[in-house]
Amino acid sequence: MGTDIKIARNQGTFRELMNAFARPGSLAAITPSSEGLLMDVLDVLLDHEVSFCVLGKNKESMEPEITAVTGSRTADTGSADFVIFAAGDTGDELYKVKRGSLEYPDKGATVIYYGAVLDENKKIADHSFKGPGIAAGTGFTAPGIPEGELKKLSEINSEYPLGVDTVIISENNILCIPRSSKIGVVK
Amino acid sequence: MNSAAEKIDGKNGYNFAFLDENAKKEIRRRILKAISIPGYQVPFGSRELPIARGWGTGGLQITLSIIGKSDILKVIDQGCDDSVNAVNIRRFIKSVTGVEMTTDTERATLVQTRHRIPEKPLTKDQVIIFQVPFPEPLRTVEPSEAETRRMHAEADYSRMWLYLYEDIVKCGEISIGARYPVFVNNRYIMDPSPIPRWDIEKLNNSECLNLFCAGREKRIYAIPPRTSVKPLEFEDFRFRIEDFKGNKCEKCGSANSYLDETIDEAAGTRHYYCSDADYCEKNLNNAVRK
Repeated sequence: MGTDIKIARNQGTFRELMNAFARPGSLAAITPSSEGLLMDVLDVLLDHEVSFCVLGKNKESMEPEITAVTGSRTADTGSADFVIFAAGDTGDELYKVKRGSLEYPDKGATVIYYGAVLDENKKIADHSFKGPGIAAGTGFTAPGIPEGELKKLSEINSEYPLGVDTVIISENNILCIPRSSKIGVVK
Repeated sequence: MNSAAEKIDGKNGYNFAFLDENAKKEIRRRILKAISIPGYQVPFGSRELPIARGWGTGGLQITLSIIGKSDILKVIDQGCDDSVNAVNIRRFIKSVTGVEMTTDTERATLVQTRHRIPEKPLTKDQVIIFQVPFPEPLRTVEPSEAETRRMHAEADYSRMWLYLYEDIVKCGEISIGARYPVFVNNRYIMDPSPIPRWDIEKLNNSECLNLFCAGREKRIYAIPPRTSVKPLEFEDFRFRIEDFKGNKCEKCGSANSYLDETIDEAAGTRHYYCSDADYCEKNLNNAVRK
């Protein structure tokens, strides 16, 4: 039985994504397709049933491309299911992202940062983690994601179970921060 | 609809793992939300499958959505690899994926289960998928879905505590055997599916990812690894597991596993055997080698 390459790739990418969500702070190494890792991840998650928006300088070029590949529709920041930022300071836009309701916290958006740098070999982490799925002493380093950005994420997720779930994507690695994770700073 | 490029040569022309890719996408999105909010029941659009609802369609949909060619799958029903439900599900998945099947708990990368957790602790490289008949732990005290949703939203679990208290007053014991409610990550009360009390501790700070799905009730929920899972108990009335009163498995001699009790009506005697068939068989093989 031969398996289609795209189906197999999507399944493999999802499993890495699932493991990364189950173990926040751990890096999932994924060999990207020619489309790049961001598009691989979007192809796993997006379809016509969900909406997305891209914020930043690449909005005009990326949104039509993502719609063409996934069939997903665009929406404004406050109502999109997936909000895609270039790694860096997002200003106040992050505060507009929907956080779900107490009855349906799963309606909170998934925030995706692309173009980050995730260094597997850097031994000293800048940020500490606590919460479900996290081994004691787990930390992570994500150059390109400013300190203030992580503080904003902590603030947005402070009223758990309301909040957003975050995926940070580098060239060939993924790191996930579900809303259940508490981010600290390693002094 | 899938594009022609997405079609594969699954059995009789079905897609790999039976479900179409858009169905998998939706279930995958819900799984990620379930992992992000441990114990919270995420609604999803449960699909029709060639087995009846109530016979493991929830667990099956999770398995079909995450399984890949390199996986090794184990399916158990009440700990047994050879019961009708387990055999049928295993044959179906094999026919639409071609993945390797095993009865060996340690070899499996995915374990789909009905009502038991294997005795051998699962590792970080394994995922266990529970078939769930009734996902709502508060249904015992509240019939309305809208109201139980509000109760979870506000963490208003007073009626559940009252139910347990009244149970102790009436019966001198909390009479819930399987489906014993647990607190997950100190936030949500969750139904762990009808596993015996014996298995509850295995959910607490487990190494593996635990995924739960009720196909008929259309709910997915999860317990990530290393997550606090505590059975509901009172300070002066502690949770306790099943007591086998010193009985051992009559096949392998184990006194450290969950036992099935069978009654020989003709002889009027009770017999005890390991519920976990793989665990029992390995014990027997080890005994033969010695």
